[in-house]
Amino acid sequence: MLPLNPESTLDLSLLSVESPAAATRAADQDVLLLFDRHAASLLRYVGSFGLRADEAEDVVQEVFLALFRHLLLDRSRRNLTGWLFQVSHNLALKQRKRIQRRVTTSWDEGVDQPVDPAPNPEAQLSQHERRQRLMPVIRALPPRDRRCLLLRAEGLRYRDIADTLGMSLGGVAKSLARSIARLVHVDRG
Amino acid sequence: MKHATPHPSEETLVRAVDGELPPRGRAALEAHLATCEACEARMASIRSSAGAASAACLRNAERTAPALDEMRTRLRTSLADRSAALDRSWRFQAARRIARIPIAAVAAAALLLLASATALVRYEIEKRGPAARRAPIEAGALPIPALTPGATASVTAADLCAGRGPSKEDIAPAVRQAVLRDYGMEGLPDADYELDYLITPELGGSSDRRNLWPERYGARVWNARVKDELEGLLPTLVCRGAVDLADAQREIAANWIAAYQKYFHTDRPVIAEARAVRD
Repeated sequence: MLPLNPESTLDLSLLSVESPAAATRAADQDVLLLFDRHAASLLRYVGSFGLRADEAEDVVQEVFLALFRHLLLDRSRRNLTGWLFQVSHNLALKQRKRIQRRVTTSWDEGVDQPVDPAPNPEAQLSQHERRQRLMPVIRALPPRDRRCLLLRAEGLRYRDIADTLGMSLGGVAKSLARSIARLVHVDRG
Repeated sequence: MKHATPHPSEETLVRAVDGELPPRGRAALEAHLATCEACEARMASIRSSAGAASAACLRNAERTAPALDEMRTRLRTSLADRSAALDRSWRFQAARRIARIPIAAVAAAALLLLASATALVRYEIEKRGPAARRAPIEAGALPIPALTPGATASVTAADLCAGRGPSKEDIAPAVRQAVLRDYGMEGLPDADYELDYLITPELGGSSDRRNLWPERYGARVWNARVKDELEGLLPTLVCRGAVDLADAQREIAANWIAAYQKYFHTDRPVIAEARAVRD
């Protein structure tokens, strides 16, 4: 486990103690449910910070343990999706700082996945070509614009993107409009 | 052709595609698009290119996709360890609080007593378990079936999943009035309720009088936000082929709370927003 979160032991006096067994069981279940719904997205997002796969897995693991503490302390349950992305963002940054190495990411490399074997090779190929056209544009975006686009792709609302990246709502809308305008331009060929 | 309103900015169109325009802005845009084919085309290419870019982003990251199952198992083990440790230290702390009573003998006796009392309490808690946590359903959390049976547009799952479903258009004032009259809620301030779709447009629900009901904000547990969670999950399941569209429509129309409980495998809202706020 990574020593990412200083708050790794829980102050029990903060816990609502009438029924700790029931509280931990409920928190357990909620954490696993949220894991099922968001872990894949969070892994992709954390991976975009240039961490190795095993490092990204550790970060996401740490995020869900933080969620467990968060739920046990009965902190706000509003918008847990946004909360998960924010914590992932922060822990990923910390981890990257910790490893102190120049990271290369799939976003920096000029390669793309090979074409899938699929029933309709023609459609597959044109999809592939389209991706080949768009990926360089996405890679060339300033990091913050690219993050906005990634979080949008993960289905986050503008409010959550803004909170995750510490931007204003209007800033997110402008960033996305700018990036998408470029993509449309290139996509048109 | 001359247009009554100026052409919308790129940003407005992107926000419209993402469903991030406020109702008034959306109405103004709809009005403009009705008379401007060029902007209609602009919006279509934004939707298409942005969609392709999303797919590219997700696919590019897939290469790092690891064994989620393995991670889940690891997480479960960690959670179980932590829960057990918490449980132990809670009992220890409780015992210590009692043990501070000065006379050692009393303390020992108290400890014994506590041990059995804790066991009893734990037994009670376990016995009450799920039933105690089942969230009650408030009046108004469900629509009246005779008035709001649910209604759908004729649209296939393939259309819906490709984003060609019915749009969440503004509800016509006449329809709104009719629904409120049905429910005897004409006099209620707007701030007290939301006119909600029973079958969400993402599942093919239409803006028909029979598919709309005034959902009171007063519902604190099974409220509109919890229903939004279900409306996020069901279309995903349908598009993944895990649930049949007709089944999803039927279940959400029959009793959305039961559908929520079924698909989230829970008796109470996963995201207990209700406890936190209503806004």
